[in-house]
Amino acid sequence: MKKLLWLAVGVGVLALAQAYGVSIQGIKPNLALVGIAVASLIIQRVEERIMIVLGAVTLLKFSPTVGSDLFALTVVGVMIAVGVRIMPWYGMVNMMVITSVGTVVMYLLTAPRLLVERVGIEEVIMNTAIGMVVFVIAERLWQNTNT
Amino acid sequence: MYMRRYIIIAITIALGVVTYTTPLFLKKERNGAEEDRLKVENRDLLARIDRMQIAYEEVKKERDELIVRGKIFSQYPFNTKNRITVSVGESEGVRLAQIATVGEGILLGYVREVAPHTSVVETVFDPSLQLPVRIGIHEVDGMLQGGAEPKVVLIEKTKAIQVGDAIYGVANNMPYGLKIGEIGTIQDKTGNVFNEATIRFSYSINELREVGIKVR
Repeated sequence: MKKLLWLAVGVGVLALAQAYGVSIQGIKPNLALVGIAVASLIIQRVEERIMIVLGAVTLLKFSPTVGSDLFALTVVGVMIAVGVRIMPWYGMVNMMVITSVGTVVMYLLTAPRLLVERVGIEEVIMNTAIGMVVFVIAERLWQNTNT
Repeated sequence: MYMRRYIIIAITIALGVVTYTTPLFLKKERNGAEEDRLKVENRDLLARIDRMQIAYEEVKKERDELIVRGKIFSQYPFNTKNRITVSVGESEGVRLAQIATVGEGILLGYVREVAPHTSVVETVFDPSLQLPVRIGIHEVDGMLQGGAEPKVVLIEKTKAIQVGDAIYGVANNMPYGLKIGEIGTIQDKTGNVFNEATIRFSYSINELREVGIKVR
């Protein structure tokens, strides 16, 4: 339970940072997606992973209505939460695949035109790099912790 | 163990319902600093002087314009769009497609969603925004292309523009001559009939705390 709470707080902090408009060189990394990917690789139970996804989506809601990007994040997040256990590689490779493919799928669902532009390519690279760093930190923190 | 699972499922359902079926959202209003406010005010006054030089007759109509001011609550959290939520809505007279400004003289974007007490503004940093513009005192035509780094495209190579020239909007659904920014760098692409130019903005959207919406 303690692990779940800390992961929820961690994903919440990342989602809030994104909601407050954190950007690097004009690119807003998808920190919520990174958080969801890391949490999904650590949390054992699928219902807990889905709760983390919806928590991040709730924090990112920026207006009275839900936009297409937020809907796409929900879809991609739930796909990660459900499908993460069938991924065949080891942790870090899984992390890289989840963040890069997740970002690409989000762009395909919302603005495929931007995927071949600088902003899309840089975001894929940025999300994957941040994901690797966060995953290493999270793994070190929780490698000896049980649920 | 089952109890924990049921609690998690209940929380998940509650989050989904709140997010997808209610207008509730976390208002992430940022604190404003006096220095930021003065900077924006100064830039706005400079923009209005520019506008007066460009379109004196049009500026006289400003007397009849009414602007409501709103605080910025939230910024769109993804790269695919650039929108902001502001604290004024239908109750304050805001309607779809009205103009949002920084101060009174700098164009920020258009109202795209309106709720009773909030509205969503699509800014010039949104990749989908395109707007006819003119550049400098010679009124050279161009097209603003929004994005993370907005630029002016379709500038005829034969027309003389300079770094620092004012860029102002000339769309028929906005007051003539609202300033957008200034020419940053001019990109002369070999083989193209047109030039492109980057835009130097007099504000940072991340530092903005307040916007105006022209409701009349």
